[in-house]
Amino acid sequence: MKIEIQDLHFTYPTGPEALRGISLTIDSGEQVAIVGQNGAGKTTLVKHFNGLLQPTSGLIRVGDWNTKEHSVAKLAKHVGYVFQNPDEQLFSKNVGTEVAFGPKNLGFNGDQVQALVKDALALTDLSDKTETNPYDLSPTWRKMVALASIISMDTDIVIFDEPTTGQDAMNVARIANVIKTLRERGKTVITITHDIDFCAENFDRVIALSQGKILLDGKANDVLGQEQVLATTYVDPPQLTRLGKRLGFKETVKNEVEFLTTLKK
Amino acid sequence: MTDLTRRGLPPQFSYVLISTLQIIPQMQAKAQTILSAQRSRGLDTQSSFIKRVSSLIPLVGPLVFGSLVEVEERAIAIEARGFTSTHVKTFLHEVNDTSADQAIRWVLIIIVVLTLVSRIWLS
Amino acid sequence: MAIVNLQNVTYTYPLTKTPALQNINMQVNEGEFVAVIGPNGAGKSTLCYTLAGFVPHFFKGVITGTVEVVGQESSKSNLHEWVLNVGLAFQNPFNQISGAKYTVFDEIAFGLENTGVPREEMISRVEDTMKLTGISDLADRSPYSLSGGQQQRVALTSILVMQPKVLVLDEPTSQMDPIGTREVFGVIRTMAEKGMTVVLVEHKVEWIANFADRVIAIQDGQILLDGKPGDVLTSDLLVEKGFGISRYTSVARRAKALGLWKREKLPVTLDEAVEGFDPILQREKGVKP
Repeated sequence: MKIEIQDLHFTYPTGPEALRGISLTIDSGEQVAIVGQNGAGKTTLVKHFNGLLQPTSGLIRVGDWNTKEHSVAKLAKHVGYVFQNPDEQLFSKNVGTEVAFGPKNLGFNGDQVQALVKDALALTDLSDKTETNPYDLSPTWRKMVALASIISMDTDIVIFDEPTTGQDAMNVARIANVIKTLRERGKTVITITHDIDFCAENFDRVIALSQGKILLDGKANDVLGQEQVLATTYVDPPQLTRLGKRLGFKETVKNEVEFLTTLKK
Repeated sequence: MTDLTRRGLPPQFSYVLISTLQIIPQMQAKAQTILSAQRSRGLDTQSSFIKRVSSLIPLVGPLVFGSLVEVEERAIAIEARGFTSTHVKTFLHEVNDTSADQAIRWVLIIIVVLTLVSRIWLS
Repeated sequence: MAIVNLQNVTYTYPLTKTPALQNINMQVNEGEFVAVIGPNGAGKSTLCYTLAGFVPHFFKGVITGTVEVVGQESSKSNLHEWVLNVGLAFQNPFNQISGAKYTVFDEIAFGLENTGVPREEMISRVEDTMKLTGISDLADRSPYSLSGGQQQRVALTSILVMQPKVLVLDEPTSQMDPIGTREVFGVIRTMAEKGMTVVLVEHKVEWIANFADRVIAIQDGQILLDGKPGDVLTSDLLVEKGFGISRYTSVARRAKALGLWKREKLPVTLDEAVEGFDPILQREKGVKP
């Protein structure tokens, strides 16, 4: 399922123009990270993908659907959105019910919902916590419940809004694993993140936004190597990219494997 | 808050009033986010009345539970600033307050609480 | 001279069976900057609350052992006296804004009003502390109109104005964007350089390595390691237990396993990594280092 954006402009009722002419295409199965300083328009942009926001001008197509013609609830069939704060969505008496909420709303039948829930819980290491009240879980596990409750919707496109904020290393690894599985299943994964190392290690394409416009858009290695340009939207390069540059590497490296390969050459 | 406390209202009480006024807009923003999150999970808010009533729980639940966590943190934060200290309190400002100001404040609180409830209900 | 002295502290929250802290022994000297790392749920926040007196005075529960800070024993003190010695700031800046004040200046003065500081002194202390933390230009703004980084600096200033002897910070940058993180770390660094005793819980290992005197690693309520950043942050134990470590350390460890990294010590910071990898690079190129 492709996402196509043509000359998107958006102004909030209360303020200046937040998006000033964004055009881009995200193909089915792509893994895209969106970076840039706060206020650059990242969240504003992705909220257009599932219809939470409608363009002031311009066009957004998700698959064959023009987002102007469908409600958020309808678009939820194709676009899942994991919000940053799990406490802003959890309400059920137990994890199982919570994770079933999404697929039920989408009209899956009883058996289908059960299967989707089972799969989502397994993916997020929550299978043994089905009967637990989400608010009896630690923030780490509440985050996983929030993830599971979107995965169970089995949408073609999944959006993560700052998934690793406040998470410890083990949970970041779990989240990375979930993203990897989604990739293997052919899902399109889009993430907004400040964690540039997480971005480098899990995403092939990076879009840098600045003041409502696209600053850079391309392969992760190409974008992350442009230190000066990224600095204008307050994005530091990943640790290993910086190390590579200081050591005089000709190519931009973004993870350990690439670093060691280039070192040996 | 200074004037309320000076007039003998226990500091805790006047604190709750004033902080509620300031926090209501933030709670409205939070309620809005909760609404967006649940709509993104297919919650249909544009349908029959019955559906609307049952759709309140996914909206109010997170607001209440999430707020409990925050209330505790806020209590710790003001405690850390000596709120329950037994010292005689001093005041930064010298304030003139009329009973008209007080009345306005009360009306404002009521209006704001009603707005929050109706936003959630009607959106 | 130990300004913080925890001896055999074990603490269990009410209605729970497993202690959140088990047999903690920890001493901090005046002026030391100690960083605390550990997975979520390890007991880091509980440790912070214990240092700040909220455990057990606010949370109740069962505590054994001695908690001594600035010569006072926790069991023999009142919370509202204790907070004058130990300042506490935590993750969510929004929850640390009292909500009782309409301007940043008043917000910062809040703690001084509560503790009966005379008006003249109040004003000068607020002005001086705002200068120290670099937020003098925010004085007339509403605390709720600020960015996350600004709010967190206001929260810090509100604590620092009370002139605590020990500053305890529980993941103050976890919810910040890169700019906010930089701003908050800047304030912490300023205070540390001025000789404040700082206990900082953090995930951002590279920054800790550059500025902390000591690192304590906690898991399951127990102290696993306590020592110099260079030693603790490169320890194999951290990897075994699933702690987050710097990518520089991680890649050097892999290079070591491949026989490329010949040094004993693994790097934590960028500079150390450059220093260590440069000779390898020259060697690989066939050039004498």
